Amino acid sequence: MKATRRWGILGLELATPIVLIALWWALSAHSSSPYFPPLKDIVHGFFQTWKGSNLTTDLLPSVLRFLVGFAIALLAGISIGLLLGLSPRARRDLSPLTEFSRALPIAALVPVGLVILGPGATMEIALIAFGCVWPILVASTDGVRGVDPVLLDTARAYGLSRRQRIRTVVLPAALPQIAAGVRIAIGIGIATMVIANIFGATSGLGYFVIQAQQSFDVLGTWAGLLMIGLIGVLANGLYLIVQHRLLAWHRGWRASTEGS
Amino acid sequence: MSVAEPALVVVAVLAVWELLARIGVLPSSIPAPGSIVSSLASDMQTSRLWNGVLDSVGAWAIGLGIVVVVGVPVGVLLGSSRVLYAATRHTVEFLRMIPSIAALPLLVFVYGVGFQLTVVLVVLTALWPLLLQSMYGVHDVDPVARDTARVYGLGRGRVFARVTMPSVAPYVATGLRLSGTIALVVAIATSLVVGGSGLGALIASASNSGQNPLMYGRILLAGILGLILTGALIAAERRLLHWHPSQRQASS
Repeated sequence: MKATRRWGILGLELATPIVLIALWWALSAHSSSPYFPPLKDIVHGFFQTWKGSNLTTDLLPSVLRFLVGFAIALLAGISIGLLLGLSPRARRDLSPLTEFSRALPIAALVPVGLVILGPGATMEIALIAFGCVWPILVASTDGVRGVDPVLLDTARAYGLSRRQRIRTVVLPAALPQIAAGVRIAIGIGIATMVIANIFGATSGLGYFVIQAQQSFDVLGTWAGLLMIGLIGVLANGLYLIVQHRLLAWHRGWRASTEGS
Repeated sequence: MSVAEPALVVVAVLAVWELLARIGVLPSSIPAPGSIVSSLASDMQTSRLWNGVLDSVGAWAIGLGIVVVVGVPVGVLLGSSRVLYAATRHTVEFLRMIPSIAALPLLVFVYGVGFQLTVVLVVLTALWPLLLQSMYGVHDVDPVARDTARVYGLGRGRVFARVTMPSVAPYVATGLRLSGTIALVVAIATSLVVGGSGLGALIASASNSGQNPLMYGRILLAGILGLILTGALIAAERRLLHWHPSQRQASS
């Protein structure tokens, strides 16, 4: 009984996207709208676009810049966030600067990047890192602040060094919050990857998709849209896998305490 | 004391920056804070700037409003039926993963450049998170509370108003706060990339004409707007949810 219900739910979950795509395919099959061509043509255009040299000239550089910028933000955000979380005074004194930087819409900084660093990979990486670092930093700070003080005192009483305390008590306790910040950062990072790549660039995903739009290449625009969407889905999917593994102990702990 | 120290840090940073710019250590691409603030101050006396601000902030607010009016009821509907919930949850989760900025070039074909384009993009950014949050909110209604309300003879409408909606509200507030930030990025980015009359376009035009202090001034304004708008969302969340446990510590 229970098993059949589970299969039923799985069937429902799979049915919706299949039905939606089938509907799109059928309804667009004879579409004469210039901007919404038949799905068949869109899919064909997608493979035509990305099987060739665009893969290495546009897709690869953008993805690499995203990865490098994101990695910098991850390292800087978590380490600075932990330090600020452990020092109430530093956190308070720097709060006007962190709050302002966090609220600044990253897109507005693209011209600054262009003026200071000029167009190119360095500018794009710097902007991606700057956009991603704040949600991670703030989440890490908040995560550390939420650490059970008894746990910290216990670790201190047992003679754990500062480094050991951070690694075995603070970091694990802050991890669920950090994970939430990282997810926000992924969304901002991909948007920044596209936006920063539009100005002054001669290759990359943002450049590609804007070029296609400006030359009224509808299938190219769709191919760019789908590729950026695919990257978003892959990045989020990867995040969910890593988060699931890193926080397995956390869910188990929560289930056991909430169940009791 | 608690306010004086952070303020002192800000003043110190600005003073050092001003000094470094004055003695010429910083390149001309990084103007002094004084000149940035004074060009923003004179820019603030022009209607062009305020039209740009109104364009961006208006599109942001209207977009989020549409999402609340459309996304919450649809989310509540999808979340209250077990079959609909199972059938749509993963599809909406999937749609949420697609960066809305990806749709910008295509939407330029359909809507042209202007206010409407920004509103549509803001809606696309905030809709999926809010839809999901509303679904999860309904799904997580405490069954004991719901059954208790039924046992006490509350009708369907009153159970909905007294039990379901209060359970959904914190989820919606969180969803709005999270998507409000990135919706603002998208609202600014839209006019920065495709032009129009938004704040992004004003930043781009100052940059294109080489007026660096003005460009920084307008970016400063974008940051201040970001502070005000995210602050407003947080304040609204506190105000609407003052009765909710998550707000207790913050208000005391």
